[in-house]
Amino acid sequence: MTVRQLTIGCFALLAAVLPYLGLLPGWTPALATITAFAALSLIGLNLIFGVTGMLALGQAAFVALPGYLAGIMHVSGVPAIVAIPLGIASAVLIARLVAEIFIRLPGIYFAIGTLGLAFVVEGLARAFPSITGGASGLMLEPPVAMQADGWYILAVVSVALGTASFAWLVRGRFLRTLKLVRHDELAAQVLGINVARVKAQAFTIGSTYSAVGGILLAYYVRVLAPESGGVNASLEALAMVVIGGSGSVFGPLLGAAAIHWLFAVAGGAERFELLVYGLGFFLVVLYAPAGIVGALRLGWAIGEAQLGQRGAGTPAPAAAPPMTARDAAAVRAASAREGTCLELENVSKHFGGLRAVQDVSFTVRFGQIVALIGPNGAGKSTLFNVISGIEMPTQGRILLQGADIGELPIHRRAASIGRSFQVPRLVPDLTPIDNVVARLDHLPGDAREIDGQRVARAQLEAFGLSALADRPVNQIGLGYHKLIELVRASAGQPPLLLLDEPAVGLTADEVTQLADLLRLLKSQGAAILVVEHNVGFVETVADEIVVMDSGRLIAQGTPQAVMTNPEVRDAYLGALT
Amino acid sequence: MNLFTQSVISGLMTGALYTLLGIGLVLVYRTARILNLAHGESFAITGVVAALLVGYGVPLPVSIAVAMLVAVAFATSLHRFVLRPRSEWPAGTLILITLGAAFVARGVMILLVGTDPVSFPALFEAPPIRVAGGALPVQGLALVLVGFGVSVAVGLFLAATRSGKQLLATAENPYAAELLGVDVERARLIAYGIGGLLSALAGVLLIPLIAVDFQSGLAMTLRGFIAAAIAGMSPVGVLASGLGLGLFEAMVGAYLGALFQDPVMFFVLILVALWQSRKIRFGGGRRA
Amino acid sequence: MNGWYLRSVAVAALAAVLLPGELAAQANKTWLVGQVAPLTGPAATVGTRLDKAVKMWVEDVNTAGGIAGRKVELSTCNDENRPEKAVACAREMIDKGAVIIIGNTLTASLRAMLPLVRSGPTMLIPSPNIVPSPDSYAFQVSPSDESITESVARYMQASGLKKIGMVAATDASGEVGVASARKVFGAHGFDLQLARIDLRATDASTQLARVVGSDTRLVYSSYSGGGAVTVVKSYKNLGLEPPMIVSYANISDAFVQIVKDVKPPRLLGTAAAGIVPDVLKDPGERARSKAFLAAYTKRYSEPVDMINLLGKAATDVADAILRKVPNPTDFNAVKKYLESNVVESVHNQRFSPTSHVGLDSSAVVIVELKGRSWVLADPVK
Repeated sequence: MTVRQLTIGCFALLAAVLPYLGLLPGWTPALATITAFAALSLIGLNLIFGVTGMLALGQAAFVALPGYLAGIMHVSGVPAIVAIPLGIASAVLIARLVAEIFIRLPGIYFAIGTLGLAFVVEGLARAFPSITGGASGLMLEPPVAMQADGWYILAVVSVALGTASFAWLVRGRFLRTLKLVRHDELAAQVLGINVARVKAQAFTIGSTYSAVGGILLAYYVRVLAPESGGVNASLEALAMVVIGGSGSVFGPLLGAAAIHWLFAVAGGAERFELLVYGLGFFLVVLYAPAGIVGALRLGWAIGEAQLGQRGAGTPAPAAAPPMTARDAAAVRAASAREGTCLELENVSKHFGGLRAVQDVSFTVRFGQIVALIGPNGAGKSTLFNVISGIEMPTQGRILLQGADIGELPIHRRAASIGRSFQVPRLVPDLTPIDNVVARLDHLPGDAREIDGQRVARAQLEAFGLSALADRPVNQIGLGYHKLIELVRASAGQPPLLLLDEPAVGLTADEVTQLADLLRLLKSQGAAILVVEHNVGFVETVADEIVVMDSGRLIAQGTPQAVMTNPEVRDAYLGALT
Repeated sequence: MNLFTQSVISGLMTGALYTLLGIGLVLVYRTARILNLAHGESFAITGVVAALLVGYGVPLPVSIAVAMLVAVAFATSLHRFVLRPRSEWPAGTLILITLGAAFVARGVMILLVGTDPVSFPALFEAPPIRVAGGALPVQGLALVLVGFGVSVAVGLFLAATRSGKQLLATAENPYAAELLGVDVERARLIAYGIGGLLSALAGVLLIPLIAVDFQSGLAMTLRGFIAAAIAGMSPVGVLASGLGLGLFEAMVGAYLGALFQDPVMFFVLILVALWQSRKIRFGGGRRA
Repeated sequence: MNGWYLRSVAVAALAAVLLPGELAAQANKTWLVGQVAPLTGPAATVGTRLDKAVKMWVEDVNTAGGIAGRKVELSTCNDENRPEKAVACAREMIDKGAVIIIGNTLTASLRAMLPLVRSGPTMLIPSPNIVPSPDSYAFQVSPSDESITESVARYMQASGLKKIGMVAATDASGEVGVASARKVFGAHGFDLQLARIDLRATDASTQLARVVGSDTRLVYSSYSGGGAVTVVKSYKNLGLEPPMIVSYANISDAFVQIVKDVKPPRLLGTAAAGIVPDVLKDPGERARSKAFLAAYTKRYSEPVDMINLLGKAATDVADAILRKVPNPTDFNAVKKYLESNVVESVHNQRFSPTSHVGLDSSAVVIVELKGRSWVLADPVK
């Protein structure tokens, strides 16, 4: 147990008994009870918005729904003890359905859809008073009579369980996946993540927290008013998550406590109450944008630094573990690959009238580096997108190891294709190790955390990057990003590597290093297709060059043959000089 | 009285309000990528300041002019002094900053006028215009004409003037616009300014017909957002979506009952969101 | 472990041990009266107006040296009219040992607070929308919404009218108002034309077009919130002629200020008779109403409104409990006292073992706005 964990534990215990100590004016057991229940439901929003980055503007709908469903079932004769779990289950089911519909909506439409949902729930609750209790609220009778202290214990235990389960659930592979999805959906798909499914999962799990917290609060209060499912409540919930620290484990709890307490003490300011509350809120978002958790982390770091403890917390970079027999076997198996890897047969891609790619055919063999060159607008990027599944071909077939992959979604090509981007798409707040493990996570086969970490470390070591392995990517120079992305793309020995302008932005030394790495990968049996403008680099590494112009393939052959082809000189090199 | 005619009249007035509020929200969203949750506060500020000044005996036109100035100043300084220095922050945090600004604005307004609603006299004092069994107050006619007129004017400004084009370019793609030499920050400031001005205008025209209190802004922000959302966040579409929403709301309220207004309206909103995004979901490849 | 860490934990632990004792030292030397009121949020007008009357009472009592030698300590908790906050507020009051809780908040919050006072303390409610059960410790000091509607029906009878148009909001007051109207007007065999109006509405003309027919001679707007102004202004803008009755909640100077230039030819309202003291037959009630009207205007430099008056009624009952019941913390004794005695107030409250509503429809009158003041309304001609 680290000092930090111990401190958190002590403070958690202190926080749990705090309302009974009367230390904090206005922080009563009752206020702490509603805060804890609210925090439990906020864990859900924290997962959906804070971690996964989905702007859910109507999450209160799922806070109020289970209470309404349970209450209505209870009125129609279902015993409360059955109605409550049923209410939660139905709310989660509805969340799952809603996820199915909304999850594919891009950013703002997802926000609008969820906002609309909150209005619908609030409106329906008002519109049918005979069933829902209407604007006056639905009365709920708890199945077991509990004293105030009992409720408080229930609240503390449930929020502790909620927080612990969140911490247990949202870590390792799942956390990496969510961070990838949040940061870059396209990159996530290219790494084999079924983005829609992951988002639907996060939304459903999140809504489960919302539902459980919501129904507990509703039964504690015994009255459920339509406003509790509405848009104001949803916005307030978002505010609490951000104030607490978006995406962090303790964010919801601290945010709910801060807002509830701030509001309770602002009451002493009489007419100035709203201003005091508003200013408090405003200043926190302005000057502690990472929320209370962010401020605490900063405070902890300063405290450590003052005591000269810096560095003690971070372990020294571990030496790369030796290659195990299994790894070696995998590499041997990969190097033994032979024959044709990728085969394009008359591939065309049209956008309306624009013929971006026309009737292109060529092959890439295992252990071969093929460079795809051509002037801007020649259709190289489109062709790359077609191969990786971002675009569907209008015509033609794409065969990978003999199988037609033209209809497969992006994430299902990930095991066979490793891809890098023109501008690297790494997750900035993860380390290179985690960025690489994020790819290994979604490759077929058993993906044990420890294995992934080891393989990733070995691969980074092989590329000479082990010194950087444990630093967050956003603290590493941009020049290295291309190399790290190359490690990520090649992790797991995919048969085909698609590299989009890997040499752009690199220094001469780095370009030489890159060429060596590509040769290493080639020797390990990969088929490599590179889009590149750096002709010198292409000439040194490519076994074969394919030239495109205006969507058509105009030349193909060894570097020497292609570079001397007059048509190529006209179309491409002429354009450069 | 003819219920249908009256519903159309009421729908036009509400539609003009939706449009006036929606345009500003869209411009800000598109140029600065921020959902301004303090957008409606400009409306409330206009009403509160004008009512206060009129109460102190300041002539109505002067009160209105000062009130609109304060409202525009609120919107633009929110951008210039609060949001712009933090433009690198995550969008979610910026949105909450605007929510915080709205809280502060409400806190100040409650100090100025208390919790009771206030209002100020209409610019046009005349008996209502009667058409086909319905009645339209002259101020309401002004709201409709100005609302839709100004929306068209903003459309022309965007399409025909240099500043307008720069604003559109920024809305389309701020990075590309910057590369093309557009002063993106100026374009954003103009967007906030137009947003504040149109909300203030809505306040000047509508508040004499109703009343305003310290917390009227939130409902107005929501109205603007709904109109903007249905328009797919396109400044030109807001004119149509605002008008449609106004008429729809009036018709549902008149024939189905106000209790069903929200569920029906927002169910349609959800359908529209699904429809608007169909291309993104189904076009350009299967991105399951 | 390092010093910095140990120091913080030690300070925290020390504070935890020392402070509660200090708090407990402030013993019960006062009558603690709790008030739960929405001071911000959509119902802020109601909360702040009730709060004014309560504050005035506390100041007056304490200036006069308190009750039985003990001062009244008022603890106000803002619930924003949200049930969960109301529950937190009420539990806080109970834990602090409040003798009386004044529930100056609205329907849903009150419904959430009621189960908490099943074994006391006494709770006083000025909202007409709640009818507390006679076996509870809760007492309502205003006429119920049904009684208010009853007074409208009585006015219709006096005017010989059989048809009424009604506009009600989509909030709880509208919901209760609609239920009362269906019951009361239905029982009288009146023709009720009804339309609801959304809380965000900025125009009420379609609602009015729906409920006002060519033979309609009276319109009732039960809207108790700020949106009532919209209804009155739309009414004027449509050029409608029949008299319009507004809710008791609008019998206020703020409302008059806004609608004075845009009001219909005859603007009426439901009100407790205390707002027009001269109609009160009981000389005691008349004197107390007049005294309160004068004192309030002096204290706050604004005329009394209907909601202030309901707040006053609550404080009168609270005052009586503290003065007349030997041990006000014996909630059964309080209950017994209130059920068997008339509480003198601006309107004398008559609770009984079968009803915890202190006023009936006889306390409600229809008033009319003449100039800037409200007077008893003449029937519709």
